[in-house]
Amino acid sequence: MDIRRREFLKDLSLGGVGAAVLAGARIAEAVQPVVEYGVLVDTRRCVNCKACQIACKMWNGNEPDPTTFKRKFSPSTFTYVSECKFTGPFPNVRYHTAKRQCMHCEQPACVEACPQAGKAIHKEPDGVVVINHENCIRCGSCTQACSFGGAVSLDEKAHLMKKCTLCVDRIRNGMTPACVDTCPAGALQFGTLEEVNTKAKEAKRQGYPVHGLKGERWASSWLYVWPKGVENRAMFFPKA
Amino acid sequence: MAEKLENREITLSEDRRRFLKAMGLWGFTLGTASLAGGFAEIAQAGTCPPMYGKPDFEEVVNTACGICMVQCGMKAYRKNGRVSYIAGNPADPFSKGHLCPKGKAALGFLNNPDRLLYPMKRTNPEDKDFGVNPGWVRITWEEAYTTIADQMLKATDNGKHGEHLAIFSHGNYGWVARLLGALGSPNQVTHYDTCFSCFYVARKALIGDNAWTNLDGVRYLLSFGWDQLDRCKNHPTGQASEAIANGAKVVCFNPYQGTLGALASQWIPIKPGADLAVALGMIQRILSKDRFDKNFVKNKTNFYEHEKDVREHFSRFTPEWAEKLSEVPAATIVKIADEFSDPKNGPAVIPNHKRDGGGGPNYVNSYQMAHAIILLNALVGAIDRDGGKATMAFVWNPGGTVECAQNPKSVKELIKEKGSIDGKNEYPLVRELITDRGIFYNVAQRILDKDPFELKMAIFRRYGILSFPNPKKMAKALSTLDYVVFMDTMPKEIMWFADLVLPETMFLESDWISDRGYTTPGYQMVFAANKAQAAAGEQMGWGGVVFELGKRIDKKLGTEYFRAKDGDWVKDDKDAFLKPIGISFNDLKKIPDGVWKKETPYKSKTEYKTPSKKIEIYGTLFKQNGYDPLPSWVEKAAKPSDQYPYYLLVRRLPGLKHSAPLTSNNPYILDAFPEPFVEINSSTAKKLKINEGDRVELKSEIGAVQIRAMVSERIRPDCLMYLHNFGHTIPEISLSRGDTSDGNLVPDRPRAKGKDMDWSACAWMSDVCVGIQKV
Repeated sequence: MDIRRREFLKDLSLGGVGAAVLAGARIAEAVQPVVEYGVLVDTRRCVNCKACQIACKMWNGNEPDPTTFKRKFSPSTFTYVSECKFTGPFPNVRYHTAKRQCMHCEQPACVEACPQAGKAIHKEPDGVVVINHENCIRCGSCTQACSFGGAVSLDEKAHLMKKCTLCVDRIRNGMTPACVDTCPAGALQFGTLEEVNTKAKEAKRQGYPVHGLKGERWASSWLYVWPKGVENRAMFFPKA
Repeated sequence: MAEKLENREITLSEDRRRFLKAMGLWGFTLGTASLAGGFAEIAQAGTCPPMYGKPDFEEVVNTACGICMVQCGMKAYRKNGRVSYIAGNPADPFSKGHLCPKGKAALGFLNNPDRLLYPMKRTNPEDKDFGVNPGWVRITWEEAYTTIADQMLKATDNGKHGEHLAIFSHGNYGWVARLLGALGSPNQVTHYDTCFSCFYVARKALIGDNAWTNLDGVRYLLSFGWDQLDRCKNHPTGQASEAIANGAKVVCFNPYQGTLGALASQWIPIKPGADLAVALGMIQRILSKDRFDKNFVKNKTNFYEHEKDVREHFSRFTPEWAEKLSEVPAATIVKIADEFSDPKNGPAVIPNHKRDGGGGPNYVNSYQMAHAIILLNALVGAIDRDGGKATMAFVWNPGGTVECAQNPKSVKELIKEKGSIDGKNEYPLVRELITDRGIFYNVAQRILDKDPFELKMAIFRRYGILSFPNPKKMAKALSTLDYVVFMDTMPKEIMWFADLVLPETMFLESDWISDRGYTTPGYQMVFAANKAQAAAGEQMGWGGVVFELGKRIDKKLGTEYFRAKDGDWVKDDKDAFLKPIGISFNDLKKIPDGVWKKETPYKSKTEYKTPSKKIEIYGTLFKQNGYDPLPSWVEKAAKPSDQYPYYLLVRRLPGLKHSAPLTSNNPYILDAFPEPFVEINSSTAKKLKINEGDRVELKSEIGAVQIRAMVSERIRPDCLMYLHNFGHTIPEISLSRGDTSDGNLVPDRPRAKGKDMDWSACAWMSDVCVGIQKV
């Protein structure tokens, strides 16, 4: 294992808890990443149960906040499920949902914006965008640069920038991300980036809107398929 | 949801701060640390840590979810005896390793600081009432058992007048019946009339046994208010979602566009309570055009024995007739009837579960709807279908029992002799077919009226006053009793009216067996649900309490109702339950993934436990007992008036279950679903000058609640959608605060004048109209 990778693992924070950092490092050392991973969010199947949101909190040791609807990222909310209407009025209305988290973009704006030039927030060979906290100066440039709602949040207590890690400690050890693991509706599908792209391309061929495809402007590790007739902005996505 | 409601600021109450602090101190912080330690150990061993499939790993405990009847396979990850993470068990062929939000958040229930920890007795001699501190003091289990047994003997005059005692208990039905029988009490009461007794009685009467819908393989799913996607019961959610992804057609009748409506091929915002009209119109269409599955109907049902009566009966319920009542165009009813009955579109099925909007015990006509759904399913062969796919399927469990030395009179016999405090004696089919269940709808009034006798003592297990329609009346009734016992995992408002409280273990704190109840066609299957964490206090299981009380009653009365044939006192005998499948509980625990399963191709029965031994389209038992043998139109009771102009609909969110704080007081669940609201159509909101996020008051004939408004387009303008199971007022519940329970709006239905033609004694839980105004 190269020095840079070792340093990254040493400093990888999965939830701001010291022991978890250690655990993450040791697990990750056990297996080398070999492929790029991805997740397909099939909004056509999402039942808005928010089990993914709960699983994320539990796996990352993030404290639940029972006081507000989750409509933005925070140091304890790496993912949330939004509900938005896309056609109306009654009775010609249909609702759908959009799970939101760090997209782990192919060309992450956050990485480009980072004044530490890839030494703090950076993209790993398996596609995961992570933060090396030792080099992070917590300037918030990454948050401001994010095109998807500012998926990186400053934990003022822990003095750490936090976000979805694509459950790097799980996926590098043969598991699926915690949110995918629990999804009871089959709306979250994990696989290699190639597999996920193949599924998304097939959906696109059938006429469904798709976001995040490889080779397109917003290519990312998280890909989305959603019902026909829904505009990108209704899914909180920039125009393709 | 619009921005105003979403992004509002809420000041964290002192209660919530205290709660979160407590969770952080001994719940989440420790949990996180132990999780990290556990995985560090795996890593140190130098192997890739298999999250699944290594059941001999000391930190992984095979168990099952006990939150709902689906009982999904679960794995509890623990360190130093404390569970720190929960995941699904991939060896469960139905949940496939996934968990719904309720199961996933179980840790917030297990380690909840509000849990009841010790037996307690009341010391405040003041009258019992809302807000009056009972002055709880901790007692030993020995004192609790002795006190309860003495009170039971006192209330019943040593078993001579058992009718003065009632047990309101969800679960352990057989042993509770035995305890009541030992004291001569006919009063075994459960909530089934508020939940699904119309379906339960209909299934027993018409197809001979209980059966649940298996959606595996469905190609045409027709829903009358059924929305398991919205409630997110893991197994049916997965099946329905899979069916939709595979291109099944889904037609959804519902005044509110829930999740199924949103994902359905067709959403039809039907007038509340008019589903029955559409179902009758469909039956008329299918029969008049002979579009039914003739082989199935001929071989399996009693249709041809009553063909003339059946055809004549339904001939009046034309789609045009149904249109006037339901506001669904006749052409749409015809189209859906034709699609549903066309084998090319099949297999088709109408699922039914519990409190489904159109079919559950929500309206005066729900019993007829339950019959109509079975009839429609029979017409397309979707009952006990060979192979068990896309059908109402019968259930399996090992079924082993413990033989006792002596048997008391059965509750059924005692009801016939004495009547019953829940009025079961007035409902012969409820009494005969689902004896050990019960009727909530009018029990408070009967207690107050001492009808048919005086009730002096009651034991409540897992029921609170919010479990009943018109909860304030139930509270008043409880305050007239001499002695009230309450047992649960978490505090409830009923504690204001209780004399003694018993703390109960939750499902991760004891060994038990999951038989996967109603969801396993194609398999014989049991799970070893192992104890994953020791109880933090002195909690016990309800079954053990029943045995202990039975033993003490036996000793006092000189009976042997709780002695096994071998002379020992009965106990929780898991081996006896498993005996028919030839495995002991210890052996079951040794199976690596904790799952014993045997693939057993689902075979259709050749004979049914009905009078005709067939599936009964024409209900012989109904006829024999003076009811309609075929479903007819019955008008919904509550209609919009000047004072209460809107139909009340009730939605159950995926993270919440009933009035139980196990989910509503769970911080993870509240993280996802933090606040209740009432949903109102935008045109209605405009008319009433109600804006998104405004605080409004909803008022029914029995009470009022104040809540925020959410304006949307997915609800009929004449309806308001309220969320079920939010808010508690008892101070022992620190997180789910507020007097916002939907129960405050639901009246207890009146007793019928003369014979009640509703053979299932439904509670009409949504047959309510309400008014709304900005406050």
